[in-house]
Amino acid sequence: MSRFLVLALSMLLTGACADATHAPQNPATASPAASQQRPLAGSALEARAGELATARETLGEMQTTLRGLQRRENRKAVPAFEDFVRAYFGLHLDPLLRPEWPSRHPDLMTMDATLRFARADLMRRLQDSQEFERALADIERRFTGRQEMLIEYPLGQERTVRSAVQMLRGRSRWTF
Amino acid sequence: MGSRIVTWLVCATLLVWPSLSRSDDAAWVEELDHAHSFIWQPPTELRAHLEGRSEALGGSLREFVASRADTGRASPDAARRLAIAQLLLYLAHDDSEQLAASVASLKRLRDHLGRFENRYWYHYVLAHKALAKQRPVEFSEQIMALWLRVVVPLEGRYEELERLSLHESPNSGFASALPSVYENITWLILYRTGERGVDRDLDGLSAVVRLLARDRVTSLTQPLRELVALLDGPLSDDGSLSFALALSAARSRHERLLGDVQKTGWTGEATGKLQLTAAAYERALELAETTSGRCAALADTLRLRTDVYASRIAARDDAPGADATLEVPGSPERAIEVYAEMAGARGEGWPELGFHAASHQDYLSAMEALWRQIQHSLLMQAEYQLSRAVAGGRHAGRDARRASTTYGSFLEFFDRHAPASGSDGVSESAHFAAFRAALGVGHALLEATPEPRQTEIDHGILHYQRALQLFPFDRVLWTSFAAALGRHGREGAYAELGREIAERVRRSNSVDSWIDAAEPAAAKIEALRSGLSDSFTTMYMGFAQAAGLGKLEGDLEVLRARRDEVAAQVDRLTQKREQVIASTWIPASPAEPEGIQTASPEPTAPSLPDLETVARELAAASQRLERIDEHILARSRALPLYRQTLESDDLRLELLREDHPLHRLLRRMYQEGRS
Repeated sequence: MSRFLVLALSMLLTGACADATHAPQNPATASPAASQQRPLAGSALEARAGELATARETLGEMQTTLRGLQRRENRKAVPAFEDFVRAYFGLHLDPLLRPEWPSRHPDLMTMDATLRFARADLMRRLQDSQEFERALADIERRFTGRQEMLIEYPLGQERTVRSAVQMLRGRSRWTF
Repeated sequence: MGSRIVTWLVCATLLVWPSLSRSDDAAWVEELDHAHSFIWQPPTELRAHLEGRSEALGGSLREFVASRADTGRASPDAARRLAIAQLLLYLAHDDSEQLAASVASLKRLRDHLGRFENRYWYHYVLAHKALAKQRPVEFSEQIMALWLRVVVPLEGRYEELERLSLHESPNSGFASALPSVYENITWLILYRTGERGVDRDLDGLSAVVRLLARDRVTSLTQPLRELVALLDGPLSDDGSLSFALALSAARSRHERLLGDVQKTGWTGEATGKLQLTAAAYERALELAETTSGRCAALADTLRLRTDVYASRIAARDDAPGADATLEVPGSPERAIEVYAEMAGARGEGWPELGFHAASHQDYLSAMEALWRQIQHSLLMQAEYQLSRAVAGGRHAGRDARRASTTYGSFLEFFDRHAPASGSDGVSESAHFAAFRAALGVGHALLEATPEPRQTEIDHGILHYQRALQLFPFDRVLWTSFAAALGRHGREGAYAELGREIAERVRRSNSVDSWIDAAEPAAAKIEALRSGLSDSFTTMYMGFAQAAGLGKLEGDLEVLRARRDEVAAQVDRLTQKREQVIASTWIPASPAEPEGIQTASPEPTAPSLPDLETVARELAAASQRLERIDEHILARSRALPLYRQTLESDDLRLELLREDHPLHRLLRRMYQEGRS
């Protein structure tokens, strides 16, 4: 009985300490800036820019990897990697792209749009036509009136939003 | 009241569970909370680390584990620490029971994965379990989960702390462990997979590896960079991580083997390691799905082959009776097939050979890299065979003929691909290598074969001649050529065969422009060209080596002295002839009137034959003098030229350097000769 109590106490104490200094339970909310619905400024804005840059890097490597796996028809690795990509979207990228304001913020909108195109391109490669169409529609809605804005699509190549949409639609024949 | 209960509970703890109060336990707790910073060490180092800590802390990790093992309802922290301790014991002692125990301890963490630290160890231990069970896909999933659930969320937090210079603060939580997390993931993928024999179906981790290589890792930077080069560079298997890891592991074995052989020579242990290294390369080759991958694996296998032959030559393993049973890995023939495939697709279709992400220049570089390894391995093998032949013994003839065949294989490869390619995909030193191979065939058949057949002699002479065509600036070869012709009774052919090659050099525009532009070694090339333009010097280059320059200069002095003698003789004879003519009695003209008497009839009138003799001797001496003058003139001109050619003897050695600019001239001359 006493031993049970000791254990219970120690668990309680360590749990309390952990809560004070460690991460929240839900990984999706791991980055507090991610779900901010109102425009950020100062160091928070800087942090958001950093997060977007890291996401761009991650998406780039994901594209490279998925291209290679699909080209080599790697049947074992492709499903696991596709799950990885989807999980990354669900846990990190989508919360980051959910707010409207970064798409209009002068310091972030180019990167914001670039990430959306990269994400849509990955959806195309994952053959998720519904999500792909949704992503394209979202891009067109968010960037209405800014069709001539220069963004990166494919990553590393600059073109206008209009041209990138056309290119992406042209590629959406589900052939790779 | 509440505080009394707590006090009572704490006291009960101390009574019921004495181990919790021990100072070594507390110290181990601290140690285990920082295990992420040292767990990556190889088993030997990890054991030493744990033993060192055991001494310092006054109790071993095993004792710590034993004291905690029965705490079935321990706190998540205690469960995590126990799992870490068990994992450490597994890694240090390869004790699979400890891994199973660690996994069991983790079960208690399942409901407490909100903490990054718990989450990290949870996936990390399960990744080890997947490796131990040889389940690559499961391993990949654990690493991906670790990346998504620990690394990505921590990165933002770490950057924030770093901006505030708080990333190393003890209160910054597990975020401060992020650099170690990167290192540990890298270590797992880079080394642990190979150690556990997991070498396929890892391609899904390519993205993680590429992300790690983007300035996230500090201590394993170089191996990680090399891995990414094998993943994305021109010599890769179109992005396959499994292939890149296999080739990287084989390369590491290769490097270690060379170090061992340098220290101990070819011991039984080294031979065993060679077989393992060869098997590792073979495994990479099996994993390669594209021509690009096969090209990379074969190039490295041939590098191993070259290193084996080189080390055996260096170890004087060529002596008769020395152990020649060592099996040498690699197959130049397979590499030549792959090269031919790549050469065929050089114009179009090359991206389909696994070069989708590469430029055309990268493709050509890959071809060139493969060429270089084919070249090195064949020449080194032939040199080894030749060195065995030269060392003598019962099998000298067999070894010499084998050397000739191996050199011939390279020449065949060269003839098949060099002419068609211009300079694309051919190693810079290919033409000099062809020279070495032709020279080698000649040397093997004409010098090293004890009793060559007539066809072998003809073949050898032909190859010496070919060697001179490829690299006419090798003065020593001119001598070998003449000596070989002489040995087989064909020295008379030297002048004619030599003249033809010399003529090509004299007329070569490439040589002209090389000299005019004062390119590297231009002075030596000019000296040799001048030498080859002079038939006397060409003869000296062939036959004067044995006599030496001193003797030639001495001979010239002798000739000059002889000239003086002959000149004096000519003078004497000229005088004599004049005297004879002057004193010659001229009989009166039959038409002279009778009664007229000459004043003094000539008392010493010579006979006509005397005059003829003097005149003949004079003519002969004059001719001799003329010939001697011609010889003196020719030798005076040729000797300095010959002396200059001797100063270029080191060109052959210089050209062993692959990046020597002179290789360009050889290539141009070869192309010029073909056009």
